[in-house]
Amino acid sequence: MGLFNPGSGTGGVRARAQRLDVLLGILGVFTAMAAIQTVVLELRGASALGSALLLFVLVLATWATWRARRNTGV
Amino acid sequence: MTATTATTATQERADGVQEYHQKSDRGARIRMYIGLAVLVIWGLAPFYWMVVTAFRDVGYTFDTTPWPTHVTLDNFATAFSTDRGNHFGAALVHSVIIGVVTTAVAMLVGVFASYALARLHFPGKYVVLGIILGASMFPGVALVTPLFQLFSNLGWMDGANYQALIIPNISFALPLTIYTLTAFLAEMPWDLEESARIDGCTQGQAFRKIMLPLAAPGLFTTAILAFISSWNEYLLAQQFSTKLTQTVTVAIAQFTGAQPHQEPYTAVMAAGTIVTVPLIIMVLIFQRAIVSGLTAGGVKG
Repeated sequence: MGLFNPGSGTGGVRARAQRLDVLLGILGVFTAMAAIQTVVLELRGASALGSALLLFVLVLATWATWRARRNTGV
Repeated sequence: MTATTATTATQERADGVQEYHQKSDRGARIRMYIGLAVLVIWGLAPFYWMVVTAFRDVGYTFDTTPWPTHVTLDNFATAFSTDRGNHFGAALVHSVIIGVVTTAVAMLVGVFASYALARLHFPGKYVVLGIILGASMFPGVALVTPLFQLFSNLGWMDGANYQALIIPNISFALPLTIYTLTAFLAEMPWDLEESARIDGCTQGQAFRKIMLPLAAPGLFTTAILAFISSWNEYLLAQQFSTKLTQTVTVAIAQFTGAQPHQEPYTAVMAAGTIVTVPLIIMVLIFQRAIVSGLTAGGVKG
């Protein structure tokens, strides 16, 4: 089993779990960036509505991915 | 008699089928070569035009003759001339320094990171891969303003501060090296490492003495890719370089001609040729290693 064909020979569930892990990492980076930006804007007293909405969407996506990852049972 | 006739008919049919297949193969081969020729011309045409213009007299810059005419080497002399405030020679040295340091650091860190990702089993391994991928997806232009602010506060925006170019370059080269090396190392025969361990090597020694020499094609490919990415980088270099650290891409973009507001195209093309040729020679010499390194992980046994 190679690193970039995860799950070959062990069924699709492990492959799905690993793909979701990668997605979780990508979303995590962008969520962290959006969180930092929102906090900085709030602390400076600048308008943070757009940034907060983006953070909300990213948090939702991360949460949904995490739930899907947990439901794989791997 | 009847049997003989039937055999002859079968033979003729078989010959006909074989001839049809031969013609079909020939047609497929011709189509393949035509396709390849189109691709090669498509890829090389801009480079060919750059070289032709580089060797053309400045008075014939916009001559559209497709082969070299009014050939001269003056443009190369102009590219290296410092009379008009261009510092192409110095920029070449700066680019080499920045490229070599970036590649060395990215490789050093990348080898260990990719070894861990390819070899070790730990929770969240694929999350780490995702984080690396996510970080590499971050657009470079979004980093320019905050980095400019940071480097200004640190006093890196004047003098010969190569680190202002090397550190951001490493952040772009590192995901590339980690991904390429991880794909390569994941396909290595790890039984050899196990054998070395049984023979008394520590894990570090087994990696250094057995696995690292075997991974040479992958390491070499990755180093070349990292160097090329650093060598061709323009956005950050344009913002963070000073006169003392200016890279070739920036130097070429800022070339000044004999007349104000007149772009010295022939000198720019000569400089472009000088910058590109070493990369092409390097890739041609090591193309076998590059291809084997890039295709590692593509086929599973």
